[in-house]
Amino acid sequence: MLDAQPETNKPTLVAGVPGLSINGVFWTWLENTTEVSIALRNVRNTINRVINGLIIACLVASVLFVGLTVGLGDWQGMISVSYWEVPHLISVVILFGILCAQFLFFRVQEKKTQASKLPKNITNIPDVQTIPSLEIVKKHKDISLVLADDARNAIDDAFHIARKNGQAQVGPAHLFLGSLSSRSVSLLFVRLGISFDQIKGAIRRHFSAQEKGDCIFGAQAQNIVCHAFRNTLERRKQQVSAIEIFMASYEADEFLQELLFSLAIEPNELKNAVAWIRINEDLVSRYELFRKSAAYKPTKGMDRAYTAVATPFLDRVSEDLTLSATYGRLPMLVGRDREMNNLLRAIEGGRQSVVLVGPSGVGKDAIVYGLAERMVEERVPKILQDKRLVKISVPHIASAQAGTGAEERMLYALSEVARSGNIILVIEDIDQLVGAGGVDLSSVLSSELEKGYTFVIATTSQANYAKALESSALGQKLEKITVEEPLRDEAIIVLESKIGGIENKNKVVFTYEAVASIVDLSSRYLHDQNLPQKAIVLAQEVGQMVGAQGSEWQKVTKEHVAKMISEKTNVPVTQVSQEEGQKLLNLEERMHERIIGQEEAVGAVSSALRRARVELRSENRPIANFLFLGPTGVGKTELAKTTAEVYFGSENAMLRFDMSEYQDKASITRLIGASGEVGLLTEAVRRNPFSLLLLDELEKAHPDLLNLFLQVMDDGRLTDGMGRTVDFTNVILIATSNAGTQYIQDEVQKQTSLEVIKEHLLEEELKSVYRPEFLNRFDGVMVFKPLSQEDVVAIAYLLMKKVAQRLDAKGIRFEPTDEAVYELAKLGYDPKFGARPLRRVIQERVDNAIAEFLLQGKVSRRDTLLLNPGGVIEVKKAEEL
Amino acid sequence: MQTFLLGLRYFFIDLIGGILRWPIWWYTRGLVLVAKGGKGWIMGYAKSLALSVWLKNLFVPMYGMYDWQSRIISFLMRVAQIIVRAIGVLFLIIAVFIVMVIYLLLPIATVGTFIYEIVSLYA
Repeated sequence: MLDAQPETNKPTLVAGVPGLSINGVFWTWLENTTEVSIALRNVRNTINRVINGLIIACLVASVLFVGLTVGLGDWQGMISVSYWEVPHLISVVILFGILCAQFLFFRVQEKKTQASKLPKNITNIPDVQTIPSLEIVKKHKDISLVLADDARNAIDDAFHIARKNGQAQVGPAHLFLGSLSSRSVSLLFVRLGISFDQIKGAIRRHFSAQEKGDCIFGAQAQNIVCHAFRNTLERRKQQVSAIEIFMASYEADEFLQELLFSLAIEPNELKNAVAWIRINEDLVSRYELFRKSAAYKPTKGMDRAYTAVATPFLDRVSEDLTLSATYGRLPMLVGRDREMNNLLRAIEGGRQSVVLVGPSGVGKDAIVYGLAERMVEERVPKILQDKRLVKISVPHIASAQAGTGAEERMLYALSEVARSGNIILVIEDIDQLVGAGGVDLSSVLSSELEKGYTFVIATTSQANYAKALESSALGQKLEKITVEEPLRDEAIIVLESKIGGIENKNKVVFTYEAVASIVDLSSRYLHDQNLPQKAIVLAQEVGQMVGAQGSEWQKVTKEHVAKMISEKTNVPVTQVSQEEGQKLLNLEERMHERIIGQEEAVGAVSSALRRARVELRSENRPIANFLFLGPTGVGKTELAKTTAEVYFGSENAMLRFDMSEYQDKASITRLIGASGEVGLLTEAVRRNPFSLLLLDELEKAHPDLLNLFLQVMDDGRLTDGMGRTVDFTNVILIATSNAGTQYIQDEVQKQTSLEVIKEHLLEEELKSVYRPEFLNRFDGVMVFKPLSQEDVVAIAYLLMKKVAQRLDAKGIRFEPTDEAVYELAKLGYDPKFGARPLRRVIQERVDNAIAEFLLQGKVSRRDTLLLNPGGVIEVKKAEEL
Repeated sequence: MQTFLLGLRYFFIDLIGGILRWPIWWYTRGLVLVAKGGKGWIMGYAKSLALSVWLKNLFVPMYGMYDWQSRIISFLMRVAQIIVRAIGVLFLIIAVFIVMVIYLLLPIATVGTFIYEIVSLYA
């Protein structure tokens, strides 16, 4: 019974009045929207414009009349007072003109004061609720009075669309369509890279399934408008705009969400794109407000009370940030509210002096500039009001005259700060003070800070903070505020705020997809820099690249960004083209052009590469981890080289480490670096993060090293001796091992299947060499079987082809007979060493002989060399020309 | 045709209604609006002259000169500055006051003179 109760209440609630109760006033949709009401309002608006036009016309006519009368008439007579004592037509017209002006003033101002505004400074914005009837609230207000013009048009259009389609009521899809004609929503569609044509069909089908009838602006539509109103309140705007109607209808309707989802626009992405539209509007209004308050900020280095002192020396070695901000030279700070609040809180209480600690490019300077901006507006704690923020240049103080006198100069600058009394110092990279120019300026600063006449806002990186500051006297005086790299969405919003400038400079238009992929791809592939700076720099580069391509105002798409990243890193990140798709599908064939046999290994590697290329791999591990087992000379290294060539574009993109060189425990520090040093492995991968990492003869490495690689395979990163995290997520890790070779050879001879051999190897033979959890980390353990006689023949053909290619470059053809190749294969085959002896045989029997022929001048261009059994080479002279 | 008639109706209602509302608005809401504007103007000017800052720092020496001679000079200078700046603000207050008076008298004066002129011109 109890359960049933809400059910019975529900219909009444839905049919009720949706709205929001704010400070005792219930905001709701009171307007009775019908075709007639819309038409009436339009007529009325037109009439209003007509009346205003008439008044202006009267005013202009009066001015013209007066002008003509004065110009053509007796203007000298008009100067005298007596002229005006007698009634004239001109005085009547002048008075009429003044009356018109007053009436116009009244009409314009009355309309302005009539337009209601949203309630301001609401701390707790309530949810939209539905009440049974308006009678239960004391006071109510109409949301339709706070609509901006574009929102008004959106609602009218929505109603027209619904009515034209014969629908019973206005729904989310109608409001969605209605808002499309507004400037902001059409801009949003441009940013999202979608057009109306793409959604037309689906919307038409959706409409045809809806209830027909006489159209009303019912509870469903009213509910959406109420949500738009609520969103507007949250954003502290004064009027509900079309983009809020758009967002509210999107959020209310699953069909619209599915529709955009089918165009690859997910809710979060749409939110970020809408934030872009809003942020540009916000920046404009923020700038206008800023200019207003900047007019009150003194620009002569003096405070308003004139208690400050001129600082001639300091001015030479510093930059006045508040002054730069006043003149609008500093970029506006976007986001970073948390850090800014921490900064202000730290300044207000406690030690005052602060140090912003974070990697380069995360926006430490931007926060300091944001503080300067706030100081201009005086939106800061009292201690910062009416002060100057001055950025002191450490190199200017320390490096002049080869460092001599640096202390004196620092003290002199600080004494000016002390005397002036209205200066707060900013020191970028404060760690430079320690040991700058051979002297330690940090102790000078530290003892001066003790006197308390000023304080410092400094920046430094995490590593330098730990190294130079943390334990120093100066470090004790600075409160540490960590500035982290912004999260993806935050970085997107920061980038969006910068795109306008890049677009204007290069005459291009960025789509949202491009902006998002700039952040995504840069965070994935550009590891040595940080967001948001690396994204901003990449956006500038992509903008430049597209801008230089010819026609103006081209769209920058995701593909442009991917192309740029591919060029920078040599990693294929562009979308897979049909041609490339075909190539990837035939990867095995391509690999077999270089690798003979070993189908299982080639197949596994090919599959891993295909997965990586279509982004189906896990992103916080290496692209793939393989262990190649098998005797020497069967193609393990060759397969690694082929993989590097296929995936990274060149077989040189391979970092090869011979593990037999790292057999003792000390070799760990050689690979990752001792404290303060770089390591061989970490440095190689840091410099070439997109490469194939080949670990030869892994079984010979010291067991502790295996733990190191365990971490690489698991987390895709290692920390080097310098404290830097080196990223391994873009390497393909291949380890080769000869462990269990004898067993493999024996079993292959017994014709045991590879599956069985592998199983036994993993369970028995390898146990003594590798721990099970280590083996489990590999995506694939591939057993390379010893080469058969046929394999060696095929390899001999391959090697002959290479000889032919080398001779081809000299214009000489090379044709080995089948018998000769078989003979070479037979001579070069050794079950123990695989194809390795074959190379030597070919060198001795073929290459040496050819070299002699060439040196003796017996062969010239266009001739053909024939290789016969027994290593006999004969020259087939080309026909004389 | 219907729309035209409707438009015509609105035209007269709005025009005549407007003419009737105009004097009432002028001396109520309009007056408040203009008074607020004048107040904002005075406050903005006072803020840009930093009068309150000068008052607060009356005994604080200027340019960081803390000797007693400088203190006396500073004090005198500040008094002079405060007087000059106060006069500036006072002038603006007077100007705003004049504007307000004009605002109050303007409709009565124009309508009065307008009727008088027409009557004397055509009578």
